[in-house]
Amino acid sequence: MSNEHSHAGNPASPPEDSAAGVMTKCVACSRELRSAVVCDYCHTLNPIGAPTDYFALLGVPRLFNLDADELRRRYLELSRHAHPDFFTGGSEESQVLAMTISSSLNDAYRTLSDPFERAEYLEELLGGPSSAVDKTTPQGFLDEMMVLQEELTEARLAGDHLALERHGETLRARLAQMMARVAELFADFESQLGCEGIRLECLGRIRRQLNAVSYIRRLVSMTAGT
Amino acid sequence: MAYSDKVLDHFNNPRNVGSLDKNDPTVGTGIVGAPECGDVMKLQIKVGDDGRIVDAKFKTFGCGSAIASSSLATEWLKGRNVDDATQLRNTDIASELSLPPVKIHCSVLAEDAVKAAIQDWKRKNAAAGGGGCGPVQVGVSAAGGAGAARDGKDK
Repeated sequence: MSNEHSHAGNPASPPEDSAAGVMTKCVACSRELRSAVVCDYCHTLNPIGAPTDYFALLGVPRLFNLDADELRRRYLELSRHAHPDFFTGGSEESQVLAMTISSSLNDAYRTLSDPFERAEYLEELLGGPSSAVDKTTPQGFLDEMMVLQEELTEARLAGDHLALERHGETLRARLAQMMARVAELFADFESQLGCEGIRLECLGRIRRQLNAVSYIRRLVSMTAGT
Repeated sequence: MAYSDKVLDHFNNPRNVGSLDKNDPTVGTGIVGAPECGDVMKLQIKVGDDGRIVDAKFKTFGCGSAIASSSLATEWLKGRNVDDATQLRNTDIASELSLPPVKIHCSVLAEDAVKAAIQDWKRKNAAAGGGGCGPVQVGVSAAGGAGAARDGKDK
């Protein structure tokens, strides 16, 4: 607030989803920060302020339905400017900052680039129930998981690679379908701006879908190699 | 963090692994899961005319602690009255197995499975027997082969 009158004026409409965070200004050039930690204009590293979520770190909208290419581009671009190698001659403070920011960017990208991890992260960020609080799965789902686990274990013990492969194929297709549903559910959530009740309901639905997804993921990993 | 000896014992030599006929009216089945880790646990009890649990079986797909927790739970259930069995708490399992904090949820899963099995049995018997669990129709054919009748000599 104390900055000179750069023509930033008042951000009437932030370029991205406003939920992505309060627009703050670069400590060096005072222009608005898109990523909370790396200025897009002068590339100065900004200290990580209070609680900064992964979306704000990378400066992408806080949405499930992100463009994977754009996400990757953002990550690489910001990481380039924050790479600790560029700060070896600088003050100790700037070296630590570069290190901290680089590793935060890595964490953020690792989580957001995986659709399941991104969904879990966003669900929590939006205040949805955790899987410890709401373990619900559809009627009969766990019974089916039990049967599948048995079949996979048998195939594994028997060294039946063909059966494992067949299961793997089916399960991966099912996983993809279930994640497509997760995307729809998040889109539903996002379209309900201002309807708190409905949004909460959406988050509950996303939780239950993610619960089911996590069992299928576990099964998929059982069919993989080894 | 290493597993305790008791966990290893149950893991390497699990008691009461298997299944009971889930359609048998004297059998209660509980299937529960932990989405955080993808574990699935099935626990079944077979209840005698006198309300005592005459057999218990489990199948668990999960880590060593989850297997040990359900194995131990089936051991404790056998010979107990159903109503006493509802008293089983996850903390009992956790302390018996010396589970570390990160594995407490495995014992919670076992407690949930026991509760679900008892609930299933009660539901079946409320529906079939009308009031109370007095006149349980002793199963046709007395097919002891149902997988039960493993030992029979508990007290």
